[in-house]
Amino acid sequence: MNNFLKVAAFSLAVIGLYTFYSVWVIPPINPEAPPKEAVVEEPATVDELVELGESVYNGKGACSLCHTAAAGRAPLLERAAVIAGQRIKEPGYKGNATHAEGYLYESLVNPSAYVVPGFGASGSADKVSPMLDVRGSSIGLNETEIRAIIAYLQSISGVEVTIAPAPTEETKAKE
Amino acid sequence: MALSNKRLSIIKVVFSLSFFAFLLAVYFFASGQPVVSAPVLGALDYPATHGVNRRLAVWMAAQMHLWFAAFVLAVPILVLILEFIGVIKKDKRYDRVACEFLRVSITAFSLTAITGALLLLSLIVFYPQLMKYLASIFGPTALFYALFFLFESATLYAYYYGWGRMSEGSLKWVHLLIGLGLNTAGTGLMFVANAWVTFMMTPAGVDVSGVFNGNLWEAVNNHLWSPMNLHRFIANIAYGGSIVGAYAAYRYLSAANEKERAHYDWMGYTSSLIAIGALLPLPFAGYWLTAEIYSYSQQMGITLMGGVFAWLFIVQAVLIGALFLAANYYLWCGFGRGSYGERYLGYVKYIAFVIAICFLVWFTPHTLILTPTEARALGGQYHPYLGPLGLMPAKNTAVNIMLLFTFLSFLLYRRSHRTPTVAWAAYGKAAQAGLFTAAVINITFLGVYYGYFTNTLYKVASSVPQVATTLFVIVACLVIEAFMLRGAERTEFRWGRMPGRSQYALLLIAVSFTWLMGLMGFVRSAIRQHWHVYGVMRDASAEAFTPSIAYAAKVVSIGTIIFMSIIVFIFWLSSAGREASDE
Amino acid sequence: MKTVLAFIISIAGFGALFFIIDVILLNAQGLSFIFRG
Repeated sequence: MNNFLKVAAFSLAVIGLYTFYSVWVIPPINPEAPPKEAVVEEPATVDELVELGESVYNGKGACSLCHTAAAGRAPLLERAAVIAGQRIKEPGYKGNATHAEGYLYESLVNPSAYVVPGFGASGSADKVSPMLDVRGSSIGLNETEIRAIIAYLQSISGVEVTIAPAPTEETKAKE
Repeated sequence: MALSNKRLSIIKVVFSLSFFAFLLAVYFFASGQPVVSAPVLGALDYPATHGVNRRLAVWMAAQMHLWFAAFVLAVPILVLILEFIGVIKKDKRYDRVACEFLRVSITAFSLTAITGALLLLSLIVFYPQLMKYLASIFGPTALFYALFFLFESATLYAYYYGWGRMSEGSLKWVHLLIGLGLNTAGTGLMFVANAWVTFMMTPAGVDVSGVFNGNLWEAVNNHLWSPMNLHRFIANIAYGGSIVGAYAAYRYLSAANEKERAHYDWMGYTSSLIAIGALLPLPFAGYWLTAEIYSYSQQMGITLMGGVFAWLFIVQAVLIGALFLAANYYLWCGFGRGSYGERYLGYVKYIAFVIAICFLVWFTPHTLILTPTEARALGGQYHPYLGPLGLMPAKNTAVNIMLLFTFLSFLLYRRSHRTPTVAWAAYGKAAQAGLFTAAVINITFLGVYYGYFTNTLYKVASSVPQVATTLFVIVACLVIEAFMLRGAERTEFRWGRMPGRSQYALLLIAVSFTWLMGLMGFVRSAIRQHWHVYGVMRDASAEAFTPSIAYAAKVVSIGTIIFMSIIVFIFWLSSAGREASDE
Repeated sequence: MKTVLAFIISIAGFGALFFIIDVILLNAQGLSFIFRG
């Protein structure tokens, strides 16, 4: 009986230590709540569009998960709208975009059209992007949210926001 | 009071047959389901639970089942190996201990089935829509599961009850074959169940709305199926070994005489050798599992390792560090079994120092949670000097060196009662020392150069040659050892000459393994976040939120206590039963 | 003395072997031994 009690006490102490460490020693981090399937109201102004873009960028879109310096697996986006214009002129560019805005759209819905050198999926020699089409289920952005992201990227890059709040015939034709 | 053996076997047979019938019923029900797209659920689509936390109920049932299943898959592997060694070496001791392992664990099989039934029931009751959807795809697999289950029950009973009758000559080989059948059935069961759970994480064979394309093999053979199969197979062996080791440790502590002490000392050592041996290739399997997660979804991969669960892997590091320290401590105590052991005691402090440093490196986080004031004082998000130790290359370097030095402890332990007498012994030892030195240099170079002077791809890729180096050293040293110790001078070696505290090391290993399994099971499930089937079927229940590590730790701890209590009860039952039949 | 020599030669020999293993395993992953940007 004595042995049993000693062994039981030892086991409980060990379990207690691990619990103590996980609960009180490591910083308490609460994972984000599941995103609400909120109805996205069509933004009426450019400012609202950029605001929507920012909230999607940091929330539903999960962009900041990979596109940060810490993660190191995706190009940084602070000047994306400016660099976009240069990317389409690069000799390796084989995509269909003819202007910066189109490149940003293509990068969101068909990331493998052009992979920035060094950021390809492992073993694909930069031919395949590890990023998926953002309209796919695990992120599931709709067209409004995609346009909002582009507007946000243009805004933080310091260029003029060329996306109109509501899709016009012109923008539909471009895409 | 104790049930007679015959009555017990009848009960077990009846139980197995009913469970088999139940599984057949599931199969026929599931196969009749039409192919549908994954339902889009709302909170009201989940049946009312009257205060029961449905997610917690399923989590507990699942974790209990996984612990028991790991144990009952490991025991037949250990038993078959030991029985086989006994036949080859013509040493009855192995045969006796193999039979004892099996006898002690037999009740665990029933508990595995019971917890499995509980899990299935709770899933059907609490998550009917999910089960209907999964059944529409995996219906036919339930038939395989039922057949494997029946086959396992039959082989288990034949293997156990036939031990005495099939103990000599060609019948012994038939017995071994039955044991192999038992293992095959158990592994098959696990492979089938792995398909269901990995589909929920990395679905294949369905389109974005969840409509199944009819290719069952594609759904089964999804990204994570093979890595999960390998990882669980190896981990089960390590786990089973550690539980048996804990059993032996306890029996050692309460042994009545020297003979018993010697027997349980040997049992503890043998099972721990298997457990720690199986632990060595586990990082490979884990690496493959994580690589496949990343290749399926970058997002899921980064959530796992770089996002909110990064700190969980620091907790894992603490547990693995504890495991290694305990294993090494047990080996060092073992030096005392052989009369030459004392000459190696001087090395212990150096090995302990290295392992402690590696443990600390493993322990060190990268991302710190700081308030803005703290961040300003520190000059950034990371500690300027210790921050780099938090990155994967440092971790990989540390764990490989820990593995190497643990192996060194093992080599020294084996020399505690053997002295090489071959003419080239000095050169052999020099070669081994050179091998170790070159390996440490190589591993450190790989970790530092590719870890800090290149990009992410190299950082991860360099871990492969690091592990290859470690494995090469282990194999090469064992080969040199085998040749060098031919005709070695052997001195006194006594089982049972271990201090009591060494047995607590074995207990620590078993408890840590159990807790670690719970923690890792949590993180695997949690990276699915608010999805029942990732990207295909959303979880809309009230418990869809991802729990924090603190919450998970509490759940895992309660589960561990419950599980270990039941295991203790099972072991007690087996010894009580034996005493009853002795009387 | 001879054992010390054996020790040093082993380090060199196994070191070379590890170098080869490193190159092979890195190349198999599409990477070169020397990092070039």
